[in-house]
Amino acid sequence: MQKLRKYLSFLSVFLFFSCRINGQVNKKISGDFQGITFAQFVKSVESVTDYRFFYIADQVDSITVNISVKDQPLSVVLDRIFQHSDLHYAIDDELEVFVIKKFSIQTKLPADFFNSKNVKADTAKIPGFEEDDYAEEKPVLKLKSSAELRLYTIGPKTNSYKKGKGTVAGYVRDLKSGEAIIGATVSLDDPPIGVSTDNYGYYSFTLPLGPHTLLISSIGMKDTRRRIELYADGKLNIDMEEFIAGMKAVVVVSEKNSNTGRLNMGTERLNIKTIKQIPVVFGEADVLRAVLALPGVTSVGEASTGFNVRGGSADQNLVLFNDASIYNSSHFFGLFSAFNPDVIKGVELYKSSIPEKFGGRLSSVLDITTRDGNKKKISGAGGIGPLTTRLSLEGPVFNENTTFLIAGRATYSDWLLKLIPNDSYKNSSAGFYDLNLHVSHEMNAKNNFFITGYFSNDQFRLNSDTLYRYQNKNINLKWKHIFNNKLNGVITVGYDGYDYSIASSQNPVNAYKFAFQIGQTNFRSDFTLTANTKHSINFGLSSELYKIQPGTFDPYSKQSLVVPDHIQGEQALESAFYLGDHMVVSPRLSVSAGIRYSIFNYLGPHDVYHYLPDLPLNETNITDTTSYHSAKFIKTYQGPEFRISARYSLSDAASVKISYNTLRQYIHLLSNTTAISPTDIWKLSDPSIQPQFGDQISVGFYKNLKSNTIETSIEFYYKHIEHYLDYKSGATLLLNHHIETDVLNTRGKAYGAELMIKKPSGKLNGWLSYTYSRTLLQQDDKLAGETINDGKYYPANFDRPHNVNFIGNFQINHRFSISLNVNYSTGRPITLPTALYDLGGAERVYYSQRNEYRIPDYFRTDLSMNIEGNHKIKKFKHSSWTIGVYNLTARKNPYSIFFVEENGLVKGYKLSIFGSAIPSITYNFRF
Amino acid sequence: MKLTWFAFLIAVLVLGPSGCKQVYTPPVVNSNSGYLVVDGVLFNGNDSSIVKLSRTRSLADSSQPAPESGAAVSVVSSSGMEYPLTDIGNGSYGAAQLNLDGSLQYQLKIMSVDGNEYLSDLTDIRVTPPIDSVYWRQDSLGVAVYLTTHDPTNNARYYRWIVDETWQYHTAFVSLLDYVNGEVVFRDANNRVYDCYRTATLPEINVATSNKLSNDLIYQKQVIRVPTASEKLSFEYSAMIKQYTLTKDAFNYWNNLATNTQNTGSLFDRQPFTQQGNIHCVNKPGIPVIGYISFSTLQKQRIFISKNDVFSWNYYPYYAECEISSLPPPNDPSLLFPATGPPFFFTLIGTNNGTYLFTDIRCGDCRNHGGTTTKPSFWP
Repeated sequence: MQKLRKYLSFLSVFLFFSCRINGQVNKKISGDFQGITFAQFVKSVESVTDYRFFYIADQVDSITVNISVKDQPLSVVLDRIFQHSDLHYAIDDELEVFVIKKFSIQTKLPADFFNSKNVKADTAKIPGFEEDDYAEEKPVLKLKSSAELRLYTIGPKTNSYKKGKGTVAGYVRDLKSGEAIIGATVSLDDPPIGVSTDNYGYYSFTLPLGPHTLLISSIGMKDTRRRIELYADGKLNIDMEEFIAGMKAVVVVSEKNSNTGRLNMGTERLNIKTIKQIPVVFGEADVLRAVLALPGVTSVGEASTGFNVRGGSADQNLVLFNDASIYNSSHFFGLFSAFNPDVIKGVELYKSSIPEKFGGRLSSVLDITTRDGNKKKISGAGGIGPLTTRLSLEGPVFNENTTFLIAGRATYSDWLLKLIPNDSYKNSSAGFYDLNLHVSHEMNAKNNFFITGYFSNDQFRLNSDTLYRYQNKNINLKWKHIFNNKLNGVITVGYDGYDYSIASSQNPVNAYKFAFQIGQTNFRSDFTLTANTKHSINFGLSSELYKIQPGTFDPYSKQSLVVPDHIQGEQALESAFYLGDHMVVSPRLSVSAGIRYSIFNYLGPHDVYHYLPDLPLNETNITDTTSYHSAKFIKTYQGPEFRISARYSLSDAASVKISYNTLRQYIHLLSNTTAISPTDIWKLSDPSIQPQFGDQISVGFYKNLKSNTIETSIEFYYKHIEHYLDYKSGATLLLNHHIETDVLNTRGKAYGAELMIKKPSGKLNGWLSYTYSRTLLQQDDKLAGETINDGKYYPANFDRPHNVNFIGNFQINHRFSISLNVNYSTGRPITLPTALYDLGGAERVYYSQRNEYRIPDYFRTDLSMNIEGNHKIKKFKHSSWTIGVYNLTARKNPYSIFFVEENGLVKGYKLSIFGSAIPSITYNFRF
Repeated sequence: MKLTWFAFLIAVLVLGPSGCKQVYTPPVVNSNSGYLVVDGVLFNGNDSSIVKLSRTRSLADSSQPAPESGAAVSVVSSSGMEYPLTDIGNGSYGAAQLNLDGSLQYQLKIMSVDGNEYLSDLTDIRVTPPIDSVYWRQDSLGVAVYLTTHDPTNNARYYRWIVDETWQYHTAFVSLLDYVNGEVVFRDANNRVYDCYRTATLPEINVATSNKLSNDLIYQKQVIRVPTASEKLSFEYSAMIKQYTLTKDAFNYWNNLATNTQNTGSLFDRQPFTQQGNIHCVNKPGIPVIGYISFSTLQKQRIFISKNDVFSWNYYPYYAECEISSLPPPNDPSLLFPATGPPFFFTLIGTNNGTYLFTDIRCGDCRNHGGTTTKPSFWP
């Protein structure tokens, strides 16, 4: 409204009063204005002079002030600022300064209306921007259409276009909240070229000089266009409006954003809207559960931390939350994901062609991005569900250049535990909370700063004796700098930590505290150089300093006789630099080739055991110990990683892609439970434990049907893994001073096919996918002291060959939608006993071959309904209800099968975590 | 509308969801494993030692383990001395006492009937410290028995307990008549089958270690749990707690066996496995042999608990539904008993106006419920 008033007064000045020329003003301007926006310039001028400026923010947002002046009249200063733009100004007697742009459609004014010599502005009549419209209540929409009709001049205007190319760059943002839009496509019709916005909504598009119409599209947003006259490199920020389907809306689907056009293969992007539509177990949108519905992603079971991508173990996924590594991505025995849905903008899962800027894990990268706070007003959201409650608040700080987003979530009940059919959980209690903070600051058009903080805490008391607690702590600071239209970069520094502790106090003599801690200090810099229309080059370097305290065991109190046992800490430096080129070879063929070189230094202080050569690593074969000093390089591993992918378009609606990736992983999660447990520990590669190495080749075919409204794809992959860790029978992983004696080096292979049919938008949307995948491991090193399954290939714990997922969402009307999720998969492998025997007074079971059998198949159907309150804009609070039923068919899906001795006899049981349909109701609100 | 949802939610939360545990029958595996299972401890000193030999059997086989009879079992010292164990039948081989030299190492040697020779690894004889105290406490779950022990030399460190429980119980009715060789006879006081004593070894593996403590102290370790309402405390209960010590490897063996067969069913179960013990087949080195042989001295302590010492026990007798019936005409008791002799299904109780009264054997004869009428020598 403020702006509107300014505008109206501005118009009235133009229309009804005559203006005085600026020459009569004797107020002088001094100062050094470098790289600031026009608005910032105005602010500083207004603060030291009596000038008051009137302008339309939209029209000056392409202006960057870069001047240094001393005692200059304002007119001279403004002349310099506006010299390459089509902005004009007028200054009146009252020291009011009016700035307006010259529009393409102009009307002549009577010659005597202004003194043409003194007034540099022509009045403008903008279609869709008339006074009458402004009198209405919805200025936003009108502004929008005006932007589409406006002709933007990029670069200093010349009489004719020069030969060559220019780059237009800027941010694509949500008109309403001012938030960056990730993955929006900015493209041309002819030639058919385009670029996508990065994680900050930034794009850089190199085009032939001349007039163009840019088409901008993004899922969930209304397609828009910008007419530009490209004279030279310049900036153009674009606002997009949310797509709200009208009652009789015709769905127009952008074809540029489709899977056939994208170069990356095996990449799945989900925005929060899609995530929120997927029915979940306790009514709260869950990022990880949404990811589990994607082809190629499975998990060991309902209550398991983590997920498995294309036959990789859970620790082979890099989970990034605004570039912060999250070591434990689950709450509450894996039933909740660690991420508050209110702060998430979207997730991207890379499972085959992993961009060269990511590394350090073998299987996949799950890149979760949070929203920036609302730039325009303070707003909030929250929800109350059956187990948790959450609240978030966001908005501008001081002005719209700085925004914040703060969110929290906590459990208020643990009735869920009582459902788990195990007596020890019935007498237990559990709870969690997490906090998110995100601040973004736009210092000027070239510099943006972001701070992300994340903290989570889980604790559960088992059998009212043992207390478990684990925490994630992450903070990072990012600086995005735009050097010029072609080159931009992001510098990130941060700290990621995870720790857990176990304390038992019941028996005073044995009472203990156990603690594990991992911390990682990171620095990374990523640069993107848009060299020309054919090459987009990424390069950068990153470095992580790991510090692990693998375990401390201490007495809980003074009475305790526990002898403190501290495993020696580990530290290592993992560094990498990378270079990648995204090449448009021809309109049909695009190639992305990248190399990442990673170096891992295992650092002192540490004592290293030496073992007899060619003998199994065990305690009796230790020959010597070497002590290394602090910061001494004990062992260095290094090597190149190749990331190559190519896309060939067969037609507008079909393409073939191929990719080859190699990856290295220097950190391992030690776990000999079938499901990853929160008390597993991380271990760095050391002289005895080699880094994991993996390579994957995949081929895919993509075809869009029905004018791109339906996407189909099929992808095949084959993966090979070296030095994956498995464990000796009865391995001790906690408080083991020489863990290398308890682990086994295995080799793995994984292969499969993924079929997907997806309808990304429309009243009825969703996808159906089928995945065939196998993961086999082999441990045949005779020197290891023992082999698993006689050295033959055996299925990994998460090997589930067939997997079918259906996600469907039907928007019945504006206020009511219904979603269905159906999941079928083969049961996971288990080790079944093959014989019985009597020992120690009871029947016991004899196990031989590992993972030879499977638990029964898994099948689950979930249903949920979203009911929105009315859509009156003026309402203080918007609310919605989510009602859902998890496991609608009440099928007792086995989580595990176990054999236990009861009264001297062996009994076999099938354990289901959710043995019935679980309804939930969640109340969500926004204000 | 909202209220209805809420009511529905509450109803569902209270009544509806539950996880579940269902019985699972594994697929029948035709593995003709038949591996030798060696179960026992060899105690040095005045205590008897028993080693039981059996074979692994198929999962579907619900029968008792086939005893491995006819084997030659002996203890062999590192100096070559051999102490044979006597075959006491049913696959058990024992020695009333073993007087071994604590400075030597020992192993167990088995020559099976099928001609295979098995040897356990040579091991020291562990010295077990005495039990300091045993006490019990009643809590919400029942009665728990705790034990404290320590070794001033700090050498014992790894402990295992074997508990033999004995308890007295009775059946529903006092039977005054017996049926012997086709005739009804009176039971005298010595032949009554109303009161019985049952002895059983606790099936749970019970181990503990003090290896993380500065002193070799096992403090208030729970060794027995008698759940509330258990028959074991329907009258008088006694337990013999036998303590012996292990090597570190033996401790790991029993501890892993306990984890894999007793502590399963959590959300984060370990990958199950069968650990190789310390017994090997000499002439066929590859074949698995199950069991772990330890040599140790033994310490023991007996406790008694009476039902009068506990409160709110709420024992629900196994015979609660028992009834006495009169024999219908022609009142011929031989009709109740098969002419071929035992097993019998009924017990005569007495007579009423000349009519025989009888009941189900489990209601009239306590021996049918697993016990014996012989009062143990230690019983007070």
